Amino acid sequence: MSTVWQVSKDLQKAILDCSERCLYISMKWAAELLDGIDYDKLEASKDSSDNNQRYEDCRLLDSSLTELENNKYLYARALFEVRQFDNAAFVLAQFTAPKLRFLRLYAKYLAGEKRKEEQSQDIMGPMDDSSADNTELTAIFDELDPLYENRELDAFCLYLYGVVLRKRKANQKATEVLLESVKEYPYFWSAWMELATMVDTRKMFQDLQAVLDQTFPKHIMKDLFLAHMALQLHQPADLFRSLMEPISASFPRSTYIKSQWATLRYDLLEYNEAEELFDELRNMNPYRLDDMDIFSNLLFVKDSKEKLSVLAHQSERIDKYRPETCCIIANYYSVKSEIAKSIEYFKKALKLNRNYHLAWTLLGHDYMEMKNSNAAIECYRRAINLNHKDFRAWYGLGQTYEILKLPYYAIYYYEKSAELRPHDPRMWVALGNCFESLDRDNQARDCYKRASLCENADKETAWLRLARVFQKTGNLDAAATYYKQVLELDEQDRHLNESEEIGDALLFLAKYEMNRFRYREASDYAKIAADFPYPYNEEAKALLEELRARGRASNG
Amino acid sequence: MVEQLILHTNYLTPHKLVLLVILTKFCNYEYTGIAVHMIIRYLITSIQHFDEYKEPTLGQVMTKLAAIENEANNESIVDPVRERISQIQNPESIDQLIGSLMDLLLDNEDEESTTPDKMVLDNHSVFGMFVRRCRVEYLKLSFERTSELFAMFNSYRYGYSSFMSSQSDEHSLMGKKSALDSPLDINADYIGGWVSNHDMARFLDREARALDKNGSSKVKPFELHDRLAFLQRHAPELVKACHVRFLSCIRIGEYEGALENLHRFFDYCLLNREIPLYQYALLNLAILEHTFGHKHKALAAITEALDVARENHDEDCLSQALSWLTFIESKHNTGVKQKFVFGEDKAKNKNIAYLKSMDLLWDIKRKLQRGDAPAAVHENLLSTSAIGTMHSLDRIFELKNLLSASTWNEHGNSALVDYYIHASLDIASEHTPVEQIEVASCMLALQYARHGNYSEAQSTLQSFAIKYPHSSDLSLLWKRCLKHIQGLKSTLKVAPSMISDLLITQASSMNHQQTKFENWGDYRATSLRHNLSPEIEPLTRETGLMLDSCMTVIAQADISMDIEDYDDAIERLQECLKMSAKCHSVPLYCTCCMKLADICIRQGQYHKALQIVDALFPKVLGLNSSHLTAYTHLLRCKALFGLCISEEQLNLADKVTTNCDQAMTGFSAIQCHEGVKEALSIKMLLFNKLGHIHDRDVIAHQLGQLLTD
Repeated sequence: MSTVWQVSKDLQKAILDCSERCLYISMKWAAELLDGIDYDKLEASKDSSDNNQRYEDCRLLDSSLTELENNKYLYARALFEVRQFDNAAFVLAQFTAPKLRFLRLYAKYLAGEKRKEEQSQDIMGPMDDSSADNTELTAIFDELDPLYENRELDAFCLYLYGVVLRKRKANQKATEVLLESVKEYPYFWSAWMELATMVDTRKMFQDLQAVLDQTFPKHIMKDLFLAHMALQLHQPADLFRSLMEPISASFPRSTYIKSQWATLRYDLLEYNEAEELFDELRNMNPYRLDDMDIFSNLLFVKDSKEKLSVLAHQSERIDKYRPETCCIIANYYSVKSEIAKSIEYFKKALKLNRNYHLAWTLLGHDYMEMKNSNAAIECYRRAINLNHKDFRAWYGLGQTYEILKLPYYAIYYYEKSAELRPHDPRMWVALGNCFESLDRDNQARDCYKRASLCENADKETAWLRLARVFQKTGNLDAAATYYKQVLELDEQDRHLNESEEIGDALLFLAKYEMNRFRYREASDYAKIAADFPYPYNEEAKALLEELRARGRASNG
Repeated sequence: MVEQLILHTNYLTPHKLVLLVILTKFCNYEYTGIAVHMIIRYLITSIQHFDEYKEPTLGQVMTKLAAIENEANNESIVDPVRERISQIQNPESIDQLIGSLMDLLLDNEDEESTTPDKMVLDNHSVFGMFVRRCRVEYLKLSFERTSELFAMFNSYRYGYSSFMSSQSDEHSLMGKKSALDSPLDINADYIGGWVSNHDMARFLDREARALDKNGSSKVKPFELHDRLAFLQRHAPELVKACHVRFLSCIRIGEYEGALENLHRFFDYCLLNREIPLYQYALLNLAILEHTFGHKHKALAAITEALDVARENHDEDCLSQALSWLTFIESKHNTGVKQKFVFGEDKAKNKNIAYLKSMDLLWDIKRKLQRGDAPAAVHENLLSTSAIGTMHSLDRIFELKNLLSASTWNEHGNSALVDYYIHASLDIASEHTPVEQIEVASCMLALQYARHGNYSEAQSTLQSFAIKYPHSSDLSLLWKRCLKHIQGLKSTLKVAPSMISDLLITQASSMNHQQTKFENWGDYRATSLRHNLSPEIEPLTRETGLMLDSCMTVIAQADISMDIEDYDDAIERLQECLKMSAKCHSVPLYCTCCMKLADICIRQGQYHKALQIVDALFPKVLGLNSSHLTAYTHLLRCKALFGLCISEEQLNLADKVTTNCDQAMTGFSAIQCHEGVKEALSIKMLLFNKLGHIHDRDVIAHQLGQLLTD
């Protein structure tokens, strides 16, 4: 692994290089990471020979360019910065210096994207045109393709070429090109992110990991990328930890790394830990809106209305036209059950970014709340089209069909979500539920067992369901064992949940023990059930009566 | 893969604009004489074929017009059209063209045409409707869309791209033009094509109908796959593409793809619908699962479909689901009763009548499988015919005829079998399911083989393979049939006919057992058959399929005969005789009797064998099977020869020779050398016994030659 000093130098260079090419996202990402560096380690690893070397490239004029090229470049960059992309491309027409070529074609690409966005105005309305294409792709492709064949493209043009290839669904070639790009310039985060979009399955991830391990035996960018992918593909948490822990030590103040850890915790359903991390993140930089949509989801799940309201209002003040802001506000309205407003904000988020799959999924959830299952289904479908790995959307579809009393139809979707999140007990419980309602008890039992074995599983639910299935299939001993385990778990928590399921469990256990002539145990269970609301208390009292009668009979 | 920019349009395409140009000229009386009729025909054909995947290039249009020009004695047709097209130089020109269409239409329905220099179109005529639709669609276009329409037209005109193809149209006859008129234009050679939602929706409808009705389409599977992939990418709003893809995946046997597209299609088409479609989604899912042989999944889906259909009071879906439920269950259990009772009022509905007739046909299958009384089978056949005639349900007659053929095959009337198979094939149309045509072709091939005409049998199968290459590639049935026919040629053994088996049990879930049964033949000489025997018997008995049970018992008797356990063989064959009599199956009855006669001969009971063979002969003739007839002669000849030898009845020698000759003739005709060899051997032994040494040596020489060959 490079020294912290070297990484710092490389990041500084990346910031300048990306800035020159108006690659703002990569530039911002590199700057954010650089800002989080451990200065003690930095000083310790400082290369003495490098003492006075600063990036003099901050100069305005590039010596590799002619005077004319420099002037044109400065003009085009100014135009680019005021979002006159077509104009910028026109100004640089005919110039073939790598930096100018990239800026020209990139401007052209963004002009096409802008027009495409303008075409797709409406969200799920009559003007919704999801099939709009970027009309500039072919022209860019035609210019880059022969240059690629002659190996004349630099890392940035390779990235652009990869983007165009991906948009044309030439995924195989796009992957190769993007790999070349990151190989040539590893600190180019956008290229890594583009590469990430190519990876759909665990198998692809493992293959890519093997390739990267060979290409970059030890490189911080590779590890950051793999950690990002591990999160995206719901890989086991250990993998993420093994990749991110060494980096975290060198970048203790990095907001990006902290947000990745927070997302991991959220993904592992460790909500309290995740919340702490997000809080720290906000303390470090309250103006950073990245990943705050995930935080808002977390607060929604935790029903933290107040905290969510603060987050929503602050985000709105920071930038009300950010998709993340709209999503946070939508979540805020959602938690307050003002679903109509929530839908409005999700739609706003989607207007700002049609490819925001999380917003599609959450919009689907809102439509479900509104009992508009058809619209919910469409939203979930759109989310899946944008991100096939979105387990929430698959799960949402399953839930929708289950609510529509189509358990068999829902199985397909739950199976997909379980495939994506095999370690998430919720998926298995939902699948088991469907099988149970179809009287396929063996399959239901297997699902519940699987759910109970998951890490962070809600064991109580899984065991209760397992016990129910065993009770239904006449395996009373197994049912009793699981019910007892549930009660033990509740005892450990010192809180007995007065739910119907626990009530049923207590009555079952009381009868079970009574039939085995263990009256004292039976009586204990019945007594607890007697404190439950109607009808459990009534039934428990009747049982206690019977137990007393039996006790008298046996004594007499 | 290099792809270019694909533009979107709802209805108007450059080709339609060219048709409007021609139509305008037609209405201005620019064509005369025979050209008028030809232009009308051309326009009508073009307007009716908006469901094609690719619209004609300008070059093709011009070639067509040039052909008309030639036929119409060189009346100038091409040049004026080309000139008019070349005048369309900017979006405004298209606007003017569309504006000029107003002159072709009547302002008021009641108003008569007042301009003698122009033909005015009836608003409801084919041309009138087309012109009106074009106008309305144009007026609905946004400013950007009109620009795009012009860009498409430009690209079309200069032949830079033909519809959905990156190949340039070299014959556009408009000459190439600089790709870029102005830096602000959409670069003409970057346009890879355009998608007309209207035309593509019609294309998808057509394909869906074809695939749904007969499981096949004119478009080859891989081509269709590419087209659908293109549409799903460039026109995702056409969700029908998912439906077609679902059907296409079923066609090529791709389960995962079919399942995914079914879910995707129904997920999308649920939006903005007042009437829920869930029951249809489930019904389709059940059909899909059933098609791929997943019985339990199919039943689960159909049960859910029934619940939802009941909840939504969808009687149509309920009827269909019940009908399918009966069908799926009957595949696995012959004792299934019809689930849906068709009341008088319901039977008036054509759809319900169709379901009823299909239910009756399935019931015939079940009855034949169980070996029910012929009266019940014929009653159902008649009822089906009556319903079909009353409700003009043409599609059921093909299947009904095939079932009639199977029925008459069981009753041993070969002439009627021929008749009904031909009748089914004669009325088959492009809407007939390929699977059904395949069964009919196989049945016909087997009939030819039965008559000893193996070359015709093979060519029948080959013609099917040529016509439906994809279906024959994937079909197990077709391959089984071919193998069976090839096997018939080389074996002397009497095997039960496959004809009725094809239709009655072919599609059943007995495939597993069928395969084992097939293996039986392949491993006849090995010990494997002993292992298979105990596995098959309970399977066939459990299902209640009488015909299958009979065949199993015959095969078991065959094993016993091979190991010379004749008592066991007789016991089994007698059991089978009873069963075949019970299920009125003449082919099986004949097969059993012949095997019994064979055993009698082997045991020296020649009189008994002769009695059996003589009694059987009329039935064998009715079957019209060359193989069976020759084999009967051979058995007769063996029995008579046995009598000759054992009882010294040398006066029977002539009869033996006659039967030997008949057997030889029969076997020679069907190229069964084994049969010829056996007949020759008997004849040789007879001449030896009679002391006709010269004749014996001649026969021995013939036999030797045959053995060497």
